[in-house]
Amino acid sequence: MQGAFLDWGFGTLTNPTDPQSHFPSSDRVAYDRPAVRAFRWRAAWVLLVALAGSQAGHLLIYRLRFGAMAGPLQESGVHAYFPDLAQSAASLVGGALIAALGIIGVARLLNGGAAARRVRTVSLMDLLAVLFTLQFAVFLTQETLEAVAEGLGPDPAMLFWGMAGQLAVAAPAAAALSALLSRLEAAVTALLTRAPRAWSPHTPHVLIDLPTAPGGNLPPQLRPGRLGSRAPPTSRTTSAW
Amino acid sequence: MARYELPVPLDLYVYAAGLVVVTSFVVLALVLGDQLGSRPVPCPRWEAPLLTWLGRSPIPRAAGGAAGVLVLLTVISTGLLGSQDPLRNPSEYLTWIYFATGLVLLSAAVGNLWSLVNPWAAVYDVTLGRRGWKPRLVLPERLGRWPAVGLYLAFVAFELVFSAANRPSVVGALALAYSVLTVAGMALFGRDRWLHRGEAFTVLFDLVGRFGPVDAERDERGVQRVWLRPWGVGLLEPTPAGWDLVCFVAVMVGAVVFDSLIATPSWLSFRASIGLWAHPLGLHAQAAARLLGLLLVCGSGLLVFVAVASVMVRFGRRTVDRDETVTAFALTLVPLALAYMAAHNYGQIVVWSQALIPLLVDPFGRGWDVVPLTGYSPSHALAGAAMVWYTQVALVVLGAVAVLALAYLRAGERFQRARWALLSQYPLVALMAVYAMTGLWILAQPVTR
Repeated sequence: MQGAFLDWGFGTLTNPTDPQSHFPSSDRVAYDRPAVRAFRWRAAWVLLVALAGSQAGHLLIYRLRFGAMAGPLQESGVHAYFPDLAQSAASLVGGALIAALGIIGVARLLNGGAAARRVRTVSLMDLLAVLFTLQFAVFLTQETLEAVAEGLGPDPAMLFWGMAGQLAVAAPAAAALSALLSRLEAAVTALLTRAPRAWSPHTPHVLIDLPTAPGGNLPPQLRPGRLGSRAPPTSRTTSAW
Repeated sequence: MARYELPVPLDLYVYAAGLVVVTSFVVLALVLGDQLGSRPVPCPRWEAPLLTWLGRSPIPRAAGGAAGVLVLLTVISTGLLGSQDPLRNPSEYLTWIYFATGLVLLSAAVGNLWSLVNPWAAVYDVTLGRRGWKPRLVLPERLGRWPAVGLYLAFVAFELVFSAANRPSVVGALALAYSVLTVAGMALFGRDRWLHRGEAFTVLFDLVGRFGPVDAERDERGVQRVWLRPWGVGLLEPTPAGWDLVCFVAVMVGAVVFDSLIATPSWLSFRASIGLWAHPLGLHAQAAARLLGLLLVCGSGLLVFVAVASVMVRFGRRTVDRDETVTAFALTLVPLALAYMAAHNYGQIVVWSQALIPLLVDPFGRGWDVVPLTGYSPSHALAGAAMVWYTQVALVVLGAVAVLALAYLRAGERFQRARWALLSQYPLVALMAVYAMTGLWILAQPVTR
């Protein structure tokens, strides 16, 4: 127990070789490196979409609440930062989406036009819950800081407006992100599976694949038995460069 | 009731509540940090011979059932036939104060009283049960407790959304309709199957009773034994996993939070701002707005809890059944709902409950004066503004600390390493601190100045 309190639990985050990690492999979650890597990529996607989603929710809420006045209101005074932030968040998401679609496209191309088999790795409910919570927290923090900067109290109606607006954005965002992540992870897995066999300097790579049946119509000097009796290297294989 | 003039700014109370919750967690970690293991969390319990004797006797159940049927008949008859002034009709007090609040809190304090006073179970036992009635249909397993969740949501929506909750005739009619539905459900699907999966109040009191100190179980011979245990540990007993139970707890917590929020500037301002959108609904605009608010609060609470639970499972660093773990942690939120219910309804319980007394001698508003109680007025001795405020502060903080204690024990059982259990609790500590602070701010609005 004392050991746990030397670091209040944070040692497991920074020290993967924690002695307490030596437990049955069936119990292990965090020390599977590919799984940890995949989790970090998913977390990055979730944070990015949550940031952009919170700004989209901000736009929606102000539009519903203030109507035509929403635009000028969100571009002036303490809200003057908002258009740049919203644009930056949208650009980041857009760029990431283009990159993801590119990866999916390349994987499909290398697979002969067929999509890699998708496996849903993240629960839709979890995604929705995390996106909504992050978006709502960002929105409330924004509104509070803006109110403090103006020297006023926070708009009390924003609690309910925040719930409604952010939920309206988080739901489709979670559905879209779930679909994208399943396809993207399948594509990355497919690409990583193909890449080592294609490019390893140590794997013999067959350039010309000739029929090897003993009764085949090969000229005598190319039949396997003949080739096998000659000294290596054979003329039928070569190491990949 | 006059508002309480706070001696220090409200902000200090709010921040202090958050600090107390966090500090309490530190103490809990030091005290409970070595409660680990794969078996269910061991908790002390003591056999109660007197309660065991009572539990085996048919008298308490017969008396309780008779009392429950009498109250139900009073609600239905006075609601339909009595005065339509809600302040002069017993059905309003019996339903919203004594049943929906008083019986729930009393069951949390002493044990599941509903199992004794359930009027519909009593009616079934005396009529169909005695004839050996067999169920006609099978309630599909995949439905789980979702019928009970839907009915409970309908009940809280009726209470908080529709102004008809203040009309005794509507309360009486709905009590009658629900009685027919429940008895029909028991007849079609089986007594226990319908009660524990389709009857909203049985599921509610099952959860509340788990918090209570009384534990009744039957041994292998079917003989009942009754034990006493610390409050709350019943919520750590194994429970079949199910999102239906998680949603039920979310509705419990969300309903009582919304009930408090509708008295705050947050709600009033929101309702005014959606006036334009709700205007086409005419007379139903207010109900629609309230329904939207209730669903938003319950839904948001559910999503925030699921997000926190997902992070807790992640930090726990052990492969666990996710749905089972989320369900197990959801049960630890029951003390929060109970504490908040007690805090929000404190004035109703100690003051307005007394207003039923003169109505009992003239339940139908006919001017009966059998017992001279017409000059009776409720006493406010326990409802001074300061007492109300500090009771609310204590209840909110205690509720949050109770959640943290139960969740910590659950984490030790789930994640089985002291460090992982500790790490897994940080998100919940943050949530409980925010909840205590927000809850206190909400409760302060109508009570303090």
